[in-house]
Amino acid sequence: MTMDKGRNTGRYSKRAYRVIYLSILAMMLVAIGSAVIFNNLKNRMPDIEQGVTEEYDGHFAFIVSSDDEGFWEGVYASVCEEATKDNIYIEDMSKSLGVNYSDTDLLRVAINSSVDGIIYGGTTNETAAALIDRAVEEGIGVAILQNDIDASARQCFVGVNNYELGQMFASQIAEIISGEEEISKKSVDVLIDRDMSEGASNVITIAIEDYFTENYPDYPIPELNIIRINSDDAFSVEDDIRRLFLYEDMQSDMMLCLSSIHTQCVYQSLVDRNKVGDVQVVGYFAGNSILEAIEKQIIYSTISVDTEEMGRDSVKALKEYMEEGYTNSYVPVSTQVIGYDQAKLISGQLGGGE
Amino acid sequence: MFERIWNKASIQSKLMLAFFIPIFVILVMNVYMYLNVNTMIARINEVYDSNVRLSELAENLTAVQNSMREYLENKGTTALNEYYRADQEYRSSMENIGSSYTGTMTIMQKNIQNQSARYLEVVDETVQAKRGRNVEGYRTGYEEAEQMYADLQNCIYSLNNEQFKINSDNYYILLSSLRYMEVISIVILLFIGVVNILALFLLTNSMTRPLIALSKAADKVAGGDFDVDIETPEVDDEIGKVSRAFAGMVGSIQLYISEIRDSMSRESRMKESELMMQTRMREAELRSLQAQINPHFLFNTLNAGAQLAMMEGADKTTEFIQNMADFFRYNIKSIDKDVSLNEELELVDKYIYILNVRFDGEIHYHKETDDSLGEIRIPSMVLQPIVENAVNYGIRNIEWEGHIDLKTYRVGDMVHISIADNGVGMTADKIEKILSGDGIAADPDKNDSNGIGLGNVIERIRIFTGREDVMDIISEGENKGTEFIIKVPMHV
Repeated sequence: MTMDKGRNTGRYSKRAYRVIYLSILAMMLVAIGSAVIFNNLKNRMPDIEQGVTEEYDGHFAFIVSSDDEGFWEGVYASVCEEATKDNIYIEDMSKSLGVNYSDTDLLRVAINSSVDGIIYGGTTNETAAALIDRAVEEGIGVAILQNDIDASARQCFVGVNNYELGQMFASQIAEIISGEEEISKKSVDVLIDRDMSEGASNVITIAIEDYFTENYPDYPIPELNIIRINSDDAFSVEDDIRRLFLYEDMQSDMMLCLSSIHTQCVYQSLVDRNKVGDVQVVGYFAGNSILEAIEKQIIYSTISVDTEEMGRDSVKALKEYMEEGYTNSYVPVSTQVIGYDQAKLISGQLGGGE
Repeated sequence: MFERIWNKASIQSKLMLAFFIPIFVILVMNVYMYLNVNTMIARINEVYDSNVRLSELAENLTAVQNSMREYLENKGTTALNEYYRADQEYRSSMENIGSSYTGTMTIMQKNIQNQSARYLEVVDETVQAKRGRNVEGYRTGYEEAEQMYADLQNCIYSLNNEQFKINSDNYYILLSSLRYMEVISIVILLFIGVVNILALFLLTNSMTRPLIALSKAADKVAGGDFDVDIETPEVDDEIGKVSRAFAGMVGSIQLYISEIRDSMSRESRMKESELMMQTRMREAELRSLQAQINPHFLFNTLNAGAQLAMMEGADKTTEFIQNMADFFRYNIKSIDKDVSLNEELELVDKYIYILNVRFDGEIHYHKETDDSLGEIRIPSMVLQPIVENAVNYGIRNIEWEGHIDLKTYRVGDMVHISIADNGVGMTADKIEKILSGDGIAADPDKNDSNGIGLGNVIERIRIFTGREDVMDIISEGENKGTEFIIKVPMHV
């Protein structure tokens, strides 16, 4: 009897010992576990003072007009993609600064910051030209996109030649005329940026006239009205174009737009003023809204510029300049006319893609 | 191994360990958590350091610009000194704005550094132009510096703003981490606390449980109840030792009590047996005394008869009377004494002689004895009653010649005395009755009997040897004779 009881007590002592032993073990494990958790927690925390400064092989400033965001977004993406390959940092100056600076202000800041190159697609006025000259003087490569500043000492222009652009517009005017029952002389408004030089605008008009003379000698050469649109601030383009429809008697049969923002504003004004069909519009850039307008036949067609090519070539040109000290002064960019059929096709592809 | 060490450890060591380990674990955890929380708070405090440094940079920039303007305004030495001091401060604060920026901020920082270098250059040129009284130079320089100052301020502001966004995110991450850590700390401490309490409870219970059981057992023992359950823990600490010692002590007491009980019981059995023997002796004595009335008289008479016969020259008569006298002399000896086997055999010889004289040699007696067994001790008056029984109930009335064979021989440590007749035999029932004590008592009224029955004989041999199995009675049936075998040990 005593022995049995003794054995029971033994079992109890053993059990108690095991529980105590396990408890201590559990405490130890919890202590170690919590230390690991805390360490993980600490490691997951942001390093405030121990960041590693990234090193870049180059630093290009990207300064473009704030009006045409849709167009420039495509270019910027391509620029960044190309620059990444060579570990070059592209700084979108308008975004990195917390204040609203004009294109020329940004140019000045970029020059003072001693960047390695500037990709510029902004205002083409004299101030800009002077700053570009200063940049070039200080050894900073400058690639101009879209609208060239002939007067400046820029290294390279990447975009569409104005003459070529004029010819493309002319082909569209001819197409519209040929589609009508009766061939008549047309009045065409050509919307250009206010800062565009006289010479540049003349090249466009000459190109249109040349096209008709060479290709459609039977057609009357259209009457071209150069209309300069103010793009000094964010809303001036929209105001100018709206005013065009509001207060001026619309005599023209067609409108040619030389920028994406002009095309969009014209399209919006046509809808707002109920003038769809009254004026045939040939736009610029194939953004979603413009393609939609073509599909709805509000806009006749648009000249699409390959933004990817534009961005890629601009970086290549600047890199070449950095490495070789020279580069091509003109790099043409592919263009394409997008009419109703193509717009439908592209929308279909985009829709299918989704 | 730990279990063995634990089992052998003293209570003091166990208690020390049981208190020390939890306290140590809690202490370590607390210190660890304290350090972590402290580090984290320090890091939280550092979060906005970069903003502070950038703000200082902006202030120093303003100081440079202001001191330059002041100098341009009054061309004073104080303003110039102030400008130099501000310039130095700005340069040193430029070096301290840190190098931890990534991506856009790295570039912004680089822009600020480059613009600052250029700005300080322009400012210096402007100041030099003022000192050199180059009016056009310092005016142009001032305008340029003013423009650059504004740009720089904007750049610093932008970087500061970016940094602030990131720092704010970091701040919230750190803050939430801190809270998370606090919660974890509390949970861990609670867990450890609960486990500690559980472990301590079990530990103290494992120590006190045997103690409580021991005290209960002690109470019972104190109340005289030795049949108690003593819990003997396997552990080798003080409680284990005390419990085992107590269990051992109680066990010893129990054993001792049991031994005393056995001894008392044995003693009581012995007394009972002694009483029984005395009773039987008295009974035998009584029978003997009854029988002695005649023998005493006869003995004296016979002696006178023997002398007379001797004087008359009648030898056979003398022998007969002498044998008769010896027989009765033996008969009146004290019956409660033991005698040698030889003495008993002699008595049988005399008895047979007397009977043969009486019955004219009808009884054929044959004796075959082992002389070496002659001296073993047996109770007196055991063989003659059996022989008498064989004569009276065995061969007295048979038609054929009666034989009585007596043999003594040894079987192992036992001496067998066999008395066999070829008389009428015995039934199994009768044998059973004789051996069980219900048997035949001597018939005192019978003239041929000395008054001692078979039951008395068997009982006396049993008492003398202390054994139950002292006699076998073998009979193969009616008229097949009977054999009595007395079994006594060599040494009683």
